[in-house]
Amino acid sequence: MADPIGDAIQALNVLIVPTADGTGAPTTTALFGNIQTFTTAIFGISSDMQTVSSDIKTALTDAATVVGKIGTSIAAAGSLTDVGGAMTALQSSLSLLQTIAPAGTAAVFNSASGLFQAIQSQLTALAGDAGKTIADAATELAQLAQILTALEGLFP
Amino acid sequence: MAISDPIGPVVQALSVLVTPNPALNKVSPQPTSTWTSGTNTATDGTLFTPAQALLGVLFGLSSDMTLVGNAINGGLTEMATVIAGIADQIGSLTTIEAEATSAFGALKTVLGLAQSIAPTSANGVLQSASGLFDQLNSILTSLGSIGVAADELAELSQQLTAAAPLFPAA
Repeated sequence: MADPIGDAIQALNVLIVPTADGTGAPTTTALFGNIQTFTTAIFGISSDMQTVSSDIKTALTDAATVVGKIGTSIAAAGSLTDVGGAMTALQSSLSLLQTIAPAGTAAVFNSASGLFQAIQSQLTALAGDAGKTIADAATELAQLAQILTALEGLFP
Repeated sequence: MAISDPIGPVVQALSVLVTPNPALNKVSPQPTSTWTSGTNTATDGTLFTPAQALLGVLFGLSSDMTLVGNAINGGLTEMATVIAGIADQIGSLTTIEAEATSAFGALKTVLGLAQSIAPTSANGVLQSASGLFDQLNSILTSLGSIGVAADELAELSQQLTAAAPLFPAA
């Protein structure tokens, strides 16, 4: 299995180059400026488009915060296998709770279960064929958070 | 699987009512302002006059129908403005065509990845954003030219502007 986070970071190098350790400010390319001009104009066409842009910006902030915190947290964990195992256990437990919880709570459990499943899936990919360590995973997540934060600049 | 041109068939279908003026030269695309500046207006197609007469009667039947006609007229005019704006902006990317196409593809990938990890509350919006860049990338890939994509959108905006008077203005 390939490294989906690393591949995505690599693909976005045409716009944003993260720092080596994922801290500080990334470098934006000249093309980023071109695309920013384009998206600023597109999302400025109408008030509805401005609202969409604002919502995307907020979503990117939320996503960057979550990804950054996951990166910081797993850096302190033992190994990718341990973290992956914990995520699987959490996902299984939450799925079970979801089946017996009241409807209102089930949606929250479903969301949390889905999150842990997604993280576990990404970590499994890293620990598998990509052969990365937990330090690599933490760095890649920090870089991804850095990129997502920088992407906010594309949305006015 | 190759993606077909999503805009061309719409322009073609609308041509029985309103035909873009001038016609698009796909070999050497014209500036988008050819259609968006208001200098040229779409030519009435064979069905324009009969359709206008029919719709005039239909939307004049009652005050409620007139209000619906007004709303459609306003909606078409607004959409034409938005599409013209998008066409002009896409047209501005023609000098960096390959880089822009690559950037849209990368943005789609990263936003899709973020969506898989982000909290549920952010999922829908990130999906929309990823979808937007996916659509842009698909259009550019299917047409093979930013100039043609921009021009087809410009043609569509001109057609929508010309089609709006089919419905009574407020």
